[in-house]
Amino acid sequence: MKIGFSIIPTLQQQVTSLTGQLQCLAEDLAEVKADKNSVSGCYDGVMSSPRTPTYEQEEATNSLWVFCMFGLLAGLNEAARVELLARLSSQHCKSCGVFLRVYLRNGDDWLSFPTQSWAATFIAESPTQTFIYLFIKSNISLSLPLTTDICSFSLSLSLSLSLTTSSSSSSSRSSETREKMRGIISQKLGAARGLSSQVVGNYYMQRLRPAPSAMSMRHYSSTTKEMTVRDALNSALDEEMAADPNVFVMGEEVGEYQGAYKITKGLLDKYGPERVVDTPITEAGFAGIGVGSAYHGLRPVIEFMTFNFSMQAIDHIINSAAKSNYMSAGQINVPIVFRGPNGPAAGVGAQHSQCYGAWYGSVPGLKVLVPYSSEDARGLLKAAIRDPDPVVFLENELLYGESFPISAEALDSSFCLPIGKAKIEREGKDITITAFSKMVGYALKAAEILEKEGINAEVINLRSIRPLDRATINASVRKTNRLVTVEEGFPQHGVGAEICATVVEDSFGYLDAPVERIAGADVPTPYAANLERMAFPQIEDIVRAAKRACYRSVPMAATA
Amino acid sequence: MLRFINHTSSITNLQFPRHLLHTISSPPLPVSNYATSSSINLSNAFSRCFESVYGGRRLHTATSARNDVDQLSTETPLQQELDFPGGRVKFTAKPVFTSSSSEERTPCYRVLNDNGQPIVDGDSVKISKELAVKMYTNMVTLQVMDTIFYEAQRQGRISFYLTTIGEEAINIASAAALNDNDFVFPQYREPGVLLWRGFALQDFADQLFGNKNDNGKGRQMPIHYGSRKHNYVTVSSTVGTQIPQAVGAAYSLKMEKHDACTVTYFGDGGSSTGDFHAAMNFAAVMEVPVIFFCRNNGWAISTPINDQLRSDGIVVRGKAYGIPSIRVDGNDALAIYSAVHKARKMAIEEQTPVLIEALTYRAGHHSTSDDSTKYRPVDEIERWRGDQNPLNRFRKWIETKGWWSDEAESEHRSRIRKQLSQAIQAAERVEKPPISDIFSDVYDVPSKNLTEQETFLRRTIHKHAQDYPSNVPM
Repeated sequence: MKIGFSIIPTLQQQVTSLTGQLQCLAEDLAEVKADKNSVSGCYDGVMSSPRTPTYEQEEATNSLWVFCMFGLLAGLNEAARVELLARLSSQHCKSCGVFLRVYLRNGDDWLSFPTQSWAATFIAESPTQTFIYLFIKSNISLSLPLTTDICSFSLSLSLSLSLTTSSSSSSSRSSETREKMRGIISQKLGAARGLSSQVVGNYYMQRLRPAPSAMSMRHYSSTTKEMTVRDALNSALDEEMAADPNVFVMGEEVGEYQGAYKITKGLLDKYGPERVVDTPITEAGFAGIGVGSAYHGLRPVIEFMTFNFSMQAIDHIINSAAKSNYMSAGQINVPIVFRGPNGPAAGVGAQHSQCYGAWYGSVPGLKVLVPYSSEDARGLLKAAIRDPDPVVFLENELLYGESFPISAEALDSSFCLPIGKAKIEREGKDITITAFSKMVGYALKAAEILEKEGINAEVINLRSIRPLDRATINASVRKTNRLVTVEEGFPQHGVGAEICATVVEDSFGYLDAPVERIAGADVPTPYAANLERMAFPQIEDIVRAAKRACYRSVPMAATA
Repeated sequence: MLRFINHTSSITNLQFPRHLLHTISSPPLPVSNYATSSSINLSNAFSRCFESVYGGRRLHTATSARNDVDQLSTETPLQQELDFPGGRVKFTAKPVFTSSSSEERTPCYRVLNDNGQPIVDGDSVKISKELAVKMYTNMVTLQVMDTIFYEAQRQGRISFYLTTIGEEAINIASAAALNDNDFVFPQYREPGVLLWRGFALQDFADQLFGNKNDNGKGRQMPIHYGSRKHNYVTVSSTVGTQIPQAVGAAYSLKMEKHDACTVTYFGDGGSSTGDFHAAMNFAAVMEVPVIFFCRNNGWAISTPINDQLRSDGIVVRGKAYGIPSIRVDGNDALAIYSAVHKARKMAIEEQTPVLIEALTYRAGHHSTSDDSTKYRPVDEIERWRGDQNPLNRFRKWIETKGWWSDEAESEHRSRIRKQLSQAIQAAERVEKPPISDIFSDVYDVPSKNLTEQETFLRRTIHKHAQDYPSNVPM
């Protein structure tokens, strides 16, 4: 068996992207000083290598990862080949803690460490049959689970990987090396997923992408910058598209028009029309096409101009995307993201103003994310794109232009938030307020008002509606003994109803007051501004509800 | 003879007028023109190498249209054509509406006549003895399989079944003309494609009985087969969703420059779904290698074709979307083989969608939940089962060739019958899927509430074993 991959068609792009990313990877890990001795020392040592002392203390178990890729050089013109080799051969010394080995193979002949001129001669013999192998190794422990780490490297290199079986056997060290590689990789793959290694296709690439788990090995200074949610989404998309050529964006007006809300600004120029696809106007069409392309290994990001229009495509989202992994018994996973603005905007009437959090939140097989701040937007969108399951990503039109402070950590291209984990935006001891999306801002403002009146509110930003972080909610309620839920959606069967149910089930004995649900009015959204305001939660509503729950009795009053 | 109607014309290359946008509230920003920026931008230049959605074809037609106009304009100074964004359109002085149907119906391509003899001057792909015999034996196997599994359902051993009777040629001949790496998006009446690709009779039986060996872990109702190994996407009960999905997968093949296409099957009823129309339009615009295979069998459960549509079948819709299309005799295995063979070549080499409409007849009931004699005449069914039977016709042809005999026939049939009864017995004996299969595969990695549910269920069953059925392995 051999480990192989086919380089994606746009090879020239790959050259640029690959070398750029290697550079990033090197810089990324630059906290380890370059140690040229270890570069030469680990040439043979696929299984063992000197460790860099800096990381000695932090090392847990998995100190070495090896990753191998190869691709056929056919399809690459002479100049591009030379360029690729020139860039690659200069990489290994620059890398700090990450080492890159380039091998060329032509039948049973192997050439390691090719210099440009050797390589040129070697390739010239049979340009269409020469394979390039990249062995990537690191002697840095990331103190993360095994699977995540190997994923990180594949992420950084972002070449589509497939495993194919063949009876090829070649002599020499290279063959042994390869065998070891295969052992390691299949072991890791096996351990990670329990999958048969006979599956062909670039199926593994998706599987190898990092799980959105803790990525906190590095320490960052706490200097803060500001960033709008729009830029956060845009940069997250951009980085994920750069990192993985299988990621592409599709929707109405995403290309030439740069997105109805400019979330995809600049992406067409950067990635071209085959990865930023303007579509005819049929949500059912492009959602279905997205799902089909995800079945076959791409990672589409489907933009709905607003989630209201996703109703046309809901069959594909629920009956196809959410269920295929289950119905195919894990044979077909659907790494797709459906994203776009959700919830009421301003002055756009009933058909453009509703929240789909509860709708999609009720479907097993989907993950539903609801970012509030720029950090949320970046971290959650990246997590959504890397996730192997279908994700519904509900943004808010009115937040796009809002700026939030953002940490250096959140600006890092490897930044990613865990799916299914809520964030306590503000700690408090008297009452818990849960909210998501735009309502988090309202809840925080309400908490400030309450503070002045001596009520210390804890605000939970849900971040994820499915999976719902029941643990964080319950832990908070057990501490504060009071709960107010806030959402813009309709009250019946809403997110608040679900939170209320989970608290009643798990923490009933801890409640000192009835749970208050603040939700949108149970009517289609009116257009007139005065009525519209009445139909959705306002900061004062939250303040009043919190006071009621704290038995600071206030009369029920109109909100306007 | 074997000609696809090619509809690629400048009119199909439509750009979308800006006024159609239903943007809500974003302020108009200057829109960068991709065409101008691409000449400067390096990465765009690269992406051009990938003959993409908006690549060569549009430019080509635009140029050629312009040349034509130049010629015209030298002859007549008056404006003869409308310079429309989607291409130039000639003016006419007559208020003539296009007709709702063409004078003649689109002809149906066939290679063998009713007696299984090749039509004189016919044009078809030559097939070898080995392939012909394999096709025939697979058609017989499919028929025997249907008969026996149908009986098993009638005996109450499985809950549901659906036969392909009358459409064996479509199943097997189309599969034979494809490569195994072509990605199949089936509806539900195409198990023959799986059979052709090596899905064993035991695999079929295990799925129908939903036992623990079922490829789908007993999750789907009978006949919803699926196998990644055979590039056959799990059958979805929703009608029509597979059609745009096939276009998406074809886009993936295009991106990766695979030497393969996707194929999606659907019936005449499926062609009425919005998904069908969306898929056809997208496929044409995105120029992807997909074969749309419509099995027009005259009946969508109880809805006859005349209540389903008023166009000349499905084939003419290809023209409306700018997709090369062909109508074939769905009971003529050689015609189907040739059409699919050629369609595949076109799809891959020209990166174009192709529509095939096969005219056939659903000679069985829609499913075991249906009795079609309630709504259609029995003699109609009998006629199609007899004269037009695809197996009979193909058998006559291979017998004339001297490749098949009565002995071979009876030997094959009895062997398959025996294998099937063994498969059914084995499938019945195998234990049912374990309890863990309820919870796995909802997500790639089970979420917390799933593991909690499973733990809770296991604990409860353990405590109250007498209250739970004993046939669920823990």
